[in-house]
Amino acid sequence: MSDQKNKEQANADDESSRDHSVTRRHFLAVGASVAAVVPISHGLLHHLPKPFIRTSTSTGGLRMFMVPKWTTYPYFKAAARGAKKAAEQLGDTFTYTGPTSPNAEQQVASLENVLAQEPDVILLSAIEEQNVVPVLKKAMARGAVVVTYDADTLAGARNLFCNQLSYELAAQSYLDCALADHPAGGDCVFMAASPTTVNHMQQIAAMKSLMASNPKYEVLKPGKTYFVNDDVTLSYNTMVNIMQAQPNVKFMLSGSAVSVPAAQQAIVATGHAGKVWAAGCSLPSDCKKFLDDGSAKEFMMWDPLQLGYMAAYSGHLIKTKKFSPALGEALDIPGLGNFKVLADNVVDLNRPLFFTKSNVSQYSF
Amino acid sequence: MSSARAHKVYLGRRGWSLTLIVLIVLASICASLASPLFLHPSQILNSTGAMVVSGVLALGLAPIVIVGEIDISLTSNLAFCTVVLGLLSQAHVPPPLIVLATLATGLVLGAFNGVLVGYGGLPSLAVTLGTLGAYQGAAFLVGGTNGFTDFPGAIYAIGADTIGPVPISLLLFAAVAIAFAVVFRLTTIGRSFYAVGRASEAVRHSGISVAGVKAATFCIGGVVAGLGALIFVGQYGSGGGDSASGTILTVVTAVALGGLDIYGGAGRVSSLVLAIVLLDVIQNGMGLVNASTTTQTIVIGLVLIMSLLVPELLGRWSREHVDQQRGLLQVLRFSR
Amino acid sequence: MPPEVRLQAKSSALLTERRGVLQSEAVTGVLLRARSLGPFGFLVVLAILFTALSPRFLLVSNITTVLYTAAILTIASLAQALVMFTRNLDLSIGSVMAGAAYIPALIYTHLHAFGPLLIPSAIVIGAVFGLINGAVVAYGRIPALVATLGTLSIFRGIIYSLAQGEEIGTGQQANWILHFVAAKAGGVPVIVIVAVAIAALATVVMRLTSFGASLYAIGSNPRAAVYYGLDRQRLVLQAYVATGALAGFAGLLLAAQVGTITVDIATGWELQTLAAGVIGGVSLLGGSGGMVGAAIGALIIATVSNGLVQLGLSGSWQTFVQGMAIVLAVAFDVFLQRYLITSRA
Repeated sequence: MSDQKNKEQANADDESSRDHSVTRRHFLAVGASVAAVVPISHGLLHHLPKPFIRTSTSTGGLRMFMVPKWTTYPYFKAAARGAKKAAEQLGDTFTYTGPTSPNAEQQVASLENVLAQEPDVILLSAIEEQNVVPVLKKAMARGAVVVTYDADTLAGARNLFCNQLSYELAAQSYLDCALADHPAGGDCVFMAASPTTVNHMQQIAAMKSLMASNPKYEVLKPGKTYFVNDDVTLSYNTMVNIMQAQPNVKFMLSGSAVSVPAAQQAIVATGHAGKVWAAGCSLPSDCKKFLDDGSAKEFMMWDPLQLGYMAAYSGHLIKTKKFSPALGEALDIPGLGNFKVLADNVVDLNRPLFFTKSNVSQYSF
Repeated sequence: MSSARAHKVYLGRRGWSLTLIVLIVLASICASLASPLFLHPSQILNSTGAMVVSGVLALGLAPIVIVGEIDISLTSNLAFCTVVLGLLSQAHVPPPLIVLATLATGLVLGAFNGVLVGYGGLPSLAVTLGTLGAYQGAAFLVGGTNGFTDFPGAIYAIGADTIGPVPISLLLFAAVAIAFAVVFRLTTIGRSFYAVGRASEAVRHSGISVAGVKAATFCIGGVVAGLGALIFVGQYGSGGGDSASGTILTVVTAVALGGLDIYGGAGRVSSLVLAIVLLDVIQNGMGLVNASTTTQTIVIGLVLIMSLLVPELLGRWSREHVDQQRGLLQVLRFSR
Repeated sequence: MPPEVRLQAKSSALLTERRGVLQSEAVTGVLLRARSLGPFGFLVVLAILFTALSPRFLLVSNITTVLYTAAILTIASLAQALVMFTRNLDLSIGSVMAGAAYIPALIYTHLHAFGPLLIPSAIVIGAVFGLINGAVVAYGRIPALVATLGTLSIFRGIIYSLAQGEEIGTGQQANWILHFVAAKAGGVPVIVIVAVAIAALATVVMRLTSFGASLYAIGSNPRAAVYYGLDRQRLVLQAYVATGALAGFAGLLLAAQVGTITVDIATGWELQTLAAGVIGGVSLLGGSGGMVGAAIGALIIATVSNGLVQLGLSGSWQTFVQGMAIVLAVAFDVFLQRYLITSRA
């Protein structure tokens, strides 16, 4: 009897709690939504004026989008300043967007979102050679002009590649830096971001063939390649381990502007300054300290502003049919000069900048 | 752990789908206000490409999370599958066999984790943290470092083509979602996942092999990763050791936002699908207005925390509020 | 039951329980020590393997190198282990490290007088991030995995917006901190000494203080710990604050070590530190493992990457072997534990 009663009581309790949960459920859902929508709407509406200005007040200029490997790196920001300058001179609207970290799939998602905005020109530094091919082909089929800069994709998926340096010239410049550091030469190792980073890998191949063929560089002996993901810590630790494991190694050569200063820092911090050198590509702001303290004599780069300017300008010329890229055609960029289109529609900027103790403070990137 | 908690969580999940729907609607309104381009059906269908691989992987992770485990090696499993796919394509194996072999590869890699976790009793986060690196390394070792770009047209179509305006990959995602929803809700196997996840006494007495069920969920996750590989190569036109690397946090974010109890035993496929849709709307909407990536990073983090924190706090507040009212009523009754 | 009687009953229950705890202390002590036995054994096996394969592995200079590359990971792993003891984890640890590295350095570039405050400010910034994590996890009752996955993005986003895409170069960092991380005392790198000191201190705190015992208690059985009278929420919050502070310190050291502070510094360290903890026998289910184990875990990771470079294996092999080492270490540890427990029973 009392059991029966208890059960009823329990049932009643159950029901009442269910009722509560229904109202509470709605209450919670609304509350959660409001709370979560605040950040979303802030994020979206914060950017409201810009697209409207772009679409409504466009003065016949082109819509130009620049997608770097990742937006938060000073090198790409500098290139964007150059491209923006060109876009402003030509009366185009310019948007800089892309992934926050070098993630290939995120870059494709960024490109898809750019594509939905009906771009006229896309300027791209590809993280991965092949991942971006489908979306770029789609863009080109819809009439957009694709110009790659800094890092290329497959030739069929873009109209033009503005190469900062031909792979051979880049390789030669890195080796020149190494010889400036230590003319007697020695064993070398290489670092690349990953096996699929085209420019790093091609430059390494070119360095190896130069060491084999050019008597000037025969004092340098090629060694292994390490993959360090454009990651500062990994570059640093790998360099520390390399110096320990291979005491004969004199040089680390790389086209990664992240790895070179990190490796040089490892050299200095572990007391190998003057015995081992990291040579190759580095932002002047990153390598200034090593040039000042004498632990290295020379680093190199090119002017990312010039590269961005060249990419944006040539993209505009192609879209407005003032220039069509083909082997042997001449590309005239005011203020930069005249460039020849090479096989596979590549133009080489080929303006290496060498940083030494005396000139490094002139550069602002 | 306790039945009380499981009960509460279960109730919470019902409201959860509603929350997500409201969020999706509101986010869509914001996005269409911010960008006139957003509300075009073709644009929306096209944008699903960005989330579909992560979405499929999140579905594959779902049964594993429901039994109370986790598999963060799914992205590397996918990468290894793309390598197998690429090698077989090079050898001109007929496409149906390639599909089978890819799914089987995913199964084997998933089973390796499953056996270690289920039968070996090793912690899943630790094991799959290891295989996350191991599978990716193996993919590079087996497939070489250059990756693959040549696939038969039929395989390529899975990730790249559309039926009418709808991408095939999206249909596959929907098919998996529906199949999972049915299996989880209506079959004994599905119910055994939840039972194992709740680690209830009943499981021990019912003769269900906990180890077997756990291993099985890892196998399912592996097969789904294989499916993800099939979609991936069409979507991105390439495969190799670094395919989908770095997307595991997105996958886990989807699962967490989908309201699956990370300790196991509760969660619905429908909510998970809604969470994936929400993430897609956010990334698409923000991408269309070229919101700085900084803003996007912060917004996704905030949505993840706020969407759980606010209901929790409101729930606590309303409970106290109700208790207070009850107390007041009793006082009134007593005084009368 | 009148209140006084209830109180008496409760306190006598507490007393008996305490007695029980004291009696079982001897057993758990042995077990706790055994927990770092497995990882240590694995480290020895690894060392023997690498010594057999490479003549240069066992050189004093190479061992110093291994310790040097392990030092900062060790400190970060100790931080991670602290919350792991309480059955939580911190996925945002990389972002916390980055914040504590970037913000003080940013202030320093504008105000050189800030130099002496670099370390305290890094610790405070880390602790503030930790406080946010702890509040959300402990008082918001959000699962740690979800909460810290969210703050991973939020903290990193904050750094992005502060940095505006600029990085801080070696030349812009305070000289004394650069010298500090590179300095050696009697042939031993200073940061190794610092890491060992922190590990020792952390071990003492976890083993000998009531705070440490409480953390283990809420990790191994949260409900029992609450019945025992422990304030679970407050302890979890404290653990997160301590984790944040320690991670902040590690972040500052990392920034000084690698020289250039980019906005994505310490990305991926959440997995590295978790791996170190797990390899070292710190259970993700809380309540077991020790600080020594976490430190050994970090040492194993550093040994593997050093050994692989020694063997001349590069790229893909490293990723593969490091992954398999994690699986093997965990399996080795779990099976050894099981063997020890069954053989004792």
